[in-house]
Amino acid sequence: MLVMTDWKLAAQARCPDIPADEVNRIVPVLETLEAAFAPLAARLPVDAEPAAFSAEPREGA
Amino acid sequence: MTIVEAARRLRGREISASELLDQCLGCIAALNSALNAFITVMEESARDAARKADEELARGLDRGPLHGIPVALKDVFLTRGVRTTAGSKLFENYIPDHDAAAVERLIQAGAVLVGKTNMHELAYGITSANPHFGTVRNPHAPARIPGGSSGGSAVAVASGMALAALGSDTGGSIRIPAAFCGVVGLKPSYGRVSRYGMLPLSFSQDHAGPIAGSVRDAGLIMNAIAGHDSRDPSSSRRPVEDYVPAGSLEGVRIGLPENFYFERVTPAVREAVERAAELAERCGARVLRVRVPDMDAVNTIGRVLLLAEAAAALTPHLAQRAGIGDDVRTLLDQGRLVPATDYVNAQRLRRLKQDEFRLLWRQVDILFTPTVPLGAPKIGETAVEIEGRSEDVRLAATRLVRGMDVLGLPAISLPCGLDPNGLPLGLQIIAPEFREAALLSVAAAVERALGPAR
Repeated sequence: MLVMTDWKLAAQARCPDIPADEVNRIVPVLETLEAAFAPLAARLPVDAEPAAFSAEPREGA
Repeated sequence: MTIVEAARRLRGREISASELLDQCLGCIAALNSALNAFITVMEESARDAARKADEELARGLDRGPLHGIPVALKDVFLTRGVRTTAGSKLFENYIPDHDAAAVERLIQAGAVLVGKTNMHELAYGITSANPHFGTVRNPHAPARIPGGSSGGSAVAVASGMALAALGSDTGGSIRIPAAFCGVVGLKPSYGRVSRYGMLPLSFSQDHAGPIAGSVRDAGLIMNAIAGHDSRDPSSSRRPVEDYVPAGSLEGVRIGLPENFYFERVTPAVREAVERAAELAERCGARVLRVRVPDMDAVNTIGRVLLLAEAAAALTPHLAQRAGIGDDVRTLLDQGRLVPATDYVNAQRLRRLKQDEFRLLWRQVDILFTPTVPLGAPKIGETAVEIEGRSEDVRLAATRLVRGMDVLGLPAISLPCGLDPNGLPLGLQIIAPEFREAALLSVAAAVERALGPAR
């Protein structure tokens, strides 16, 4: 079972500079996004590597 | 007037670069107060550049097809000695000491830089209703949005203020305004055009590309700006091609998605894109129905990446909260709360989706989809209704385009018809990575088949 984040508490703890009325505005979007994203992340194979910004070597690297 | 036509007339001495510039400046003088396409008009330096272009042509120095052509720049590209705001109060007094790579290349190609175009604040949105520099308006219907974030660039081209423009595309910001304004917009492959000197929004999804009046014109701009640049760590070393399109559909396998892309679009959009596919078939292409990977998932991945990367890039500026528009500040605050594990997992999911999408190219050479699910919404609308379902304007406008920023694939939008309100609609054509030349060739052939009344 996926445990969903309490975004209001998270905002108060991590970003106390965000005014309360603005926290109320951002929470629903984060809840919806998490509901879509968490099941995708939960199904990731353990050996899945992150995408690279560029597959090509940098000059001098 | 297209670049191709202007270049022909310049070389035939039918018009000078200074006269061409005068025409654009005349349009700006007549229309900019109503449409708000430009933040900064570079009249003095543009006149100097046009004079120089004329002198060079007179003595036989021809820099190529862009020589003497008026081009506008989204105000996210750094310009030496010219204010670069990113449409934000945070940068309202920022005067860079160097040019962006794409700007350097346009100058080398002889383009005349007309000015810096208005945009959605910090390139973080699609309405181009800018709280600091004014609301950009759609030239086809001034009560409607032009799309964004490169709204001013699309308006400038659509209304004759410039013959082409540079835009940036992180979640559709070139293709959405191109579709809503009835012009051509190309988002190249990730790494094809240097982003050096382009103010960042989402490092792994930012792309620079052209907005133009025709597919061929977009190819001409690409010929100038594409190519490796060691100053951009994401810049590709793959050789560039000639992007001026041959315009052929013979034997091309066009994929028309059965899932996702035609769900929740207006009937006019569906009919316009299917008509374009039928025309392509008559010109020698084969149209095949295909299933695409889960694009809702790709969009979700892209939104997580964008929230986190934009917050990383711009959070230092949040100390000046009052100087940032409500919508952008909200997105930045959301991004600050995205956990690091979600960001890393989004990058892991992204790779899986890139691999899934690659399999599609075994079946088809190119995909046809709508660019946007409807015509331009009204200014101030926060939700739109499509097929009886209400949807947030930003999510609706980005739904069909964001995926290609996540996957890094080239995608072009070209006009393909009008909706019942007379608003332009866009056909999006998508190709495998670094196949811009093939993409432009197909797009040019479709543009020709659709004809001037498209």
